[in-house]
Amino acid sequence: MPESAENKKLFFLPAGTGAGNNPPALQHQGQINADVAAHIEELKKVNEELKQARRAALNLIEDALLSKEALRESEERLRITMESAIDYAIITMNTERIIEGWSRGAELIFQYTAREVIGKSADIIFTDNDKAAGAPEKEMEKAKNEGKAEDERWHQRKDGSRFFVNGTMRPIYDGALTGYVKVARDMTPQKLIEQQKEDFIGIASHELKTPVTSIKAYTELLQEMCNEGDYASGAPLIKKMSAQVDRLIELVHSLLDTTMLVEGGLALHLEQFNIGDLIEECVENLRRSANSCHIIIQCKKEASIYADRDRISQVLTNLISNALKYSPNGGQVTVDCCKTAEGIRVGVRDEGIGISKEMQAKVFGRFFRVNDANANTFPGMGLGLYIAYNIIQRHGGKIWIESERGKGSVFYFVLPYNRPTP
Amino acid sequence: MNGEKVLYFILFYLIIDQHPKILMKQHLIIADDDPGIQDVFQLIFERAGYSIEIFSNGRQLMNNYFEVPDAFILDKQLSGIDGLDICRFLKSQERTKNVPVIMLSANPAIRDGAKEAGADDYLEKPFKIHDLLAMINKYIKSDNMIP
Repeated sequence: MPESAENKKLFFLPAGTGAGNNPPALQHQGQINADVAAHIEELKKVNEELKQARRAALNLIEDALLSKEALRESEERLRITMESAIDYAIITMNTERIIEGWSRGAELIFQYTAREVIGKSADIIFTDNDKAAGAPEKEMEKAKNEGKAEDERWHQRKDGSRFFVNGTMRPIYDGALTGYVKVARDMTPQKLIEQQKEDFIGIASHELKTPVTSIKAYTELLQEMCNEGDYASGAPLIKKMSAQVDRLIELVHSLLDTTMLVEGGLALHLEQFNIGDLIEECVENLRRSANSCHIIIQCKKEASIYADRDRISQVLTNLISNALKYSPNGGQVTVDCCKTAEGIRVGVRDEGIGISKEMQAKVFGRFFRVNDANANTFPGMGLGLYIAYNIIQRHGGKIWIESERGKGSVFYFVLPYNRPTP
Repeated sequence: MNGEKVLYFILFYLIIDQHPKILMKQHLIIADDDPGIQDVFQLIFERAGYSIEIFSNGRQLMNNYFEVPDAFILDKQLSGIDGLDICRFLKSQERTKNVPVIMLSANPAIRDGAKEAGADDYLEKPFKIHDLLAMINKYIKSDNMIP
C-alpha cells in the first residue's frame, strides 16, 4: 500500500478544529489524534521492518538461485569428469552397498551397463571366493573405520572373466555416513607381466640349478671314488657330467640370446651354405637324445641359402628338440625342406601332444611352455621358440605353426633366397 | 648239538619276524622328474646302502600304490603337480603321516613352503651329498632302531 495515501487517511480531522481552541470535546479529540499518531509511528516502524525483511528474503532467493546454478554447473563438471575417466571405474553406493552411481569407465571395465546395476548390490563385481570370504564387507568396514580402503584383487566381469583391479574405497559423509565411493582401475596387463617375471625367476632358477645339482653331486662322487682308489667307476660319471655341463651351457646361451634380442643386439654373420647339409648335421647331433622317436629327413640337396649358419642351426635344433620333447610316447619326427616362391621352406613335423588353437598364438612369446592333457609340464625355460622366431624375423623370413591338440604339430619357417636387408 | 642248532634257527626266525627292519635296508621314496637328478640319487643312495624307489610322476604318490618307506624326498617343482601338495597329502594319510618328508627345491622360498606344508625338513638345490645323507640319517636312524 502506498505510504502517502495511508498517511492522508490517518490525518483526516473534522472541519473547524484548530490547535488554539481547547474545549473538553476538542481536548478529547486531541488525545485521539495523539494515539493515532503513536500508532502511525509504530506502523511506520513495522512497515520499515517488513521492507527490510522483504529485501533480505529477496537476497536469500537470489543467493539460492545463484547457488543452485553453481551447484548445477559443478555437478555437470563432475559428471563430465566422471564420464571422461574411462580408464577408471567410479562406483557410488549407499551404506548397504546398493549401487547408486556407475560411471562410463565402470561400464567399460566391468561390462555391466549403469541401467543393469543401479539398485543392485555392489557385490556382483567380486569373485565367488572373495564373496564367500566376506571381502566386500571387510572393504566397507575398513573404509568406514580408517577413512579409506585400498585394495588389489582379482574381480569378475559380467561374462565371468577375471581381471586384476587396483581400487580405493572412501566413505561419503553428509552429516552422517551416507554411502561409499569406489574408484578402481584394471591392472591386468601389469599384473600378468609381474606374474610372468616371478614365474620366470622360479623356472630359471629351477632349470639352471638342476644341472648344477647333478654336476656338483657327480663331482663329489668322483672325488670319493678317487679317494677310494676306484678310478674305473668314474668314467661313466664323467660322461654324464659332461652332458649336464652341455645342458647348462645351452641354458646360459638361451638366456644371453634373449637378453641380446630384447636389447636389439643380435648380430647376424651371413654366408652361403646348403641347408640340407645343416639339417643332417643337426639331426645327427640330436639322434642321441631322440628317445623312442624316429627322425626322417626329406630334403632337396641343392637347397642353398644365404644366412647365418650358426643361428639357423640354433633354430633347427630348437624345433627338432621340441618335436622330440613334446612326443613323450615316441612316433615319427620328419624334417623336410623345399623351394617355394618366397624362399626355402623348412618344416619340422611331429606326432606329439600338439597345441590347441588358443595356445598357438602364444608359442612364440617369451617364457611360454605347453602342458600336456594332464597338465604335466616339460623341462625348459620357454625361450627356444621366442629365440627361433626372432632369428627368422631378422633374416626377413617367417615362422609359423600348424597343429591340433593330441595330433602333433608342424613348425614351418621360410628363409628368403636374397640377402636380407639390414 | 642238533637241538642247539634248532633253537638258534627258531630264535633267528623269531627275530626276523619281530624286527624285520633290523636286517633290511632302509627304504626311501624319491619324487623328482629330472633324469639327471634321478641318476644322482640312485648313485648316492646305492653307495650309502639304502634301497630307493624313484617316482617321475608325483601324482602316483597320491594314489597310495607304494610300500610305506622310511622317508620321502620330494622335489617341489614336479611336472604337473606341486611337491608341497604331495607332502600335504602324505601328512594327511594315516599310513604315511608319521613318515619323515624332506622337501627339495632350487628356490630358497622352500624354507617357508616346506614348514607350512608340514614337511619335516628341506634341502636347497644344489646340495652337498654329506648334508643330504646326514639329514636322512637324522630322521630315520632312530626310527629303525626302535621296533
